[in-house]
Amino acid sequence: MAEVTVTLPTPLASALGVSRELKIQAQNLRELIKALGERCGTALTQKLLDHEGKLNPIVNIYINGRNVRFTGGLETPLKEGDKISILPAVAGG
Amino acid sequence: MGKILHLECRECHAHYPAERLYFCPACFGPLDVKYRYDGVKWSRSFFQNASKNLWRYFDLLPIEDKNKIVDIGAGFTPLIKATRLGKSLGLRNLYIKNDTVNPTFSFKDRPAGVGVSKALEFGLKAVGCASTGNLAAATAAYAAKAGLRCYIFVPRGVEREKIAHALIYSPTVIEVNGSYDTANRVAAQAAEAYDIGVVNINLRTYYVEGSKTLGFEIAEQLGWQPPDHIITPVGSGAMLLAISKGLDEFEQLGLIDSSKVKFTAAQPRGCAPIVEAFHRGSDIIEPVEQPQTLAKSLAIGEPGDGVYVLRKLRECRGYAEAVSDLEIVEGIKLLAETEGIFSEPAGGVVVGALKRLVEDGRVDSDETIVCLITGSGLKAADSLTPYLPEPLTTEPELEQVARLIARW
Repeated sequence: MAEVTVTLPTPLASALGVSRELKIQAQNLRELIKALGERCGTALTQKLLDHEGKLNPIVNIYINGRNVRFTGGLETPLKEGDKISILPAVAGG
Repeated sequence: MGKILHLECRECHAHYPAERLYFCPACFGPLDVKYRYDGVKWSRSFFQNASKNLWRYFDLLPIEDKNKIVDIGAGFTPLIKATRLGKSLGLRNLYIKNDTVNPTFSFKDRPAGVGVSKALEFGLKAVGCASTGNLAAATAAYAAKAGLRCYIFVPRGVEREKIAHALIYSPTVIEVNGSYDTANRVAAQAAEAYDIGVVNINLRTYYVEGSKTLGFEIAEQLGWQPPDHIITPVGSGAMLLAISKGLDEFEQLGLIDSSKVKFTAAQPRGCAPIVEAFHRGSDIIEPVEQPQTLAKSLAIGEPGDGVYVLRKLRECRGYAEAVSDLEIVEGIKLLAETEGIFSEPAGGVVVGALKRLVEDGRVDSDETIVCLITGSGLKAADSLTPYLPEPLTTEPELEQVARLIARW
């Protein structure tokens, strides 16, 4: 089990009433999202996954700066000290 | 009571006050500005004496205090009847919206102007952007005018002309070792960590409102009616959606009879995630990790508004076209040779897409079509040089010159 640091965007952390930075233990991204739900409420899981249980296309999750859509999605393994960023899919203009 | 009624989530329709919020905390959806439309007293005659820039539409721009407007003269750019280009393509009612003539030579002066003005209204001390180049110069110019600090995040490989252009306004330019999407992610993190108003990220809700003035202007300049068809270059998709919103607002206020317009989204083949999803019939955008295209300003592999562009294209029975680098260059040259307008590669993407539609018989020769030309070719001149002939050379003697002229 790896301990990783998860950073949430401020408006989301405020809405959930949790700290922006969270330490979570998980082996892969799927487990991480489950653990986040247990820590912050299932509402967070529902934001990160769509109704089919796939990654919500309007959310980007990065592991050490790399978008998980390019690393194996929910099955991406985690290692000790990984930095996870969750950001709304906002790009370009 | 301000002019903004609320911010509304495009996904779950939750409402929020007009604060510094750039996505819906309930579902991550993007937020749209909704106004108190009853309070807008626009009529066609109202605009006869209005300022000849984007602030003529102040009543439907998300700045409450006119004293916070940062203006460098952007907007109300020419809508030109493209007679020669039209003739070469067999089109009788073709128009060019020439946004290359904005103060920093691209349409980005519109959203950047609104974004930086909103930053001033929020009392922010620093602004910034993640940019493929055009927004860099626009944000830096407005920041200079406003006296705000400015941080620009660009990906590796942006045209040097665009970097130089941004640097002249003295922002801090940070070239991130990675793609645009990597630079965007770093900018989003910096925005949170250092309280920077990154116009196209954490001020995005307000920023995109600037682009809808393109829709207002096109309808107004066509004599208060929308065209049949608008062809837009697409990176993130935000501009296409903003134009559509502008037309919808004009219809809502009774300034035009209908906002029904067919849109074509034009992307370069080396980065066409929206076009590909459209042709697959899918609602899922497969991101492009390493875009490879001459059209750097459209090299956005993870388009934030992609799913909404797909919805819009299907709703309006529009098209999506991806064109090659060679088609882009041919499009730039055709536009320059027929209309005297020098576009950056994004404009070549638009002309290339239009050519495809004509060749496939998907446009009618009488349709009123507007092509959006959103940035000047001078911003990417170096990348076009390999595709241009060498100039003829001569000794300074008329006989030799005559020989060259005869040859030509």
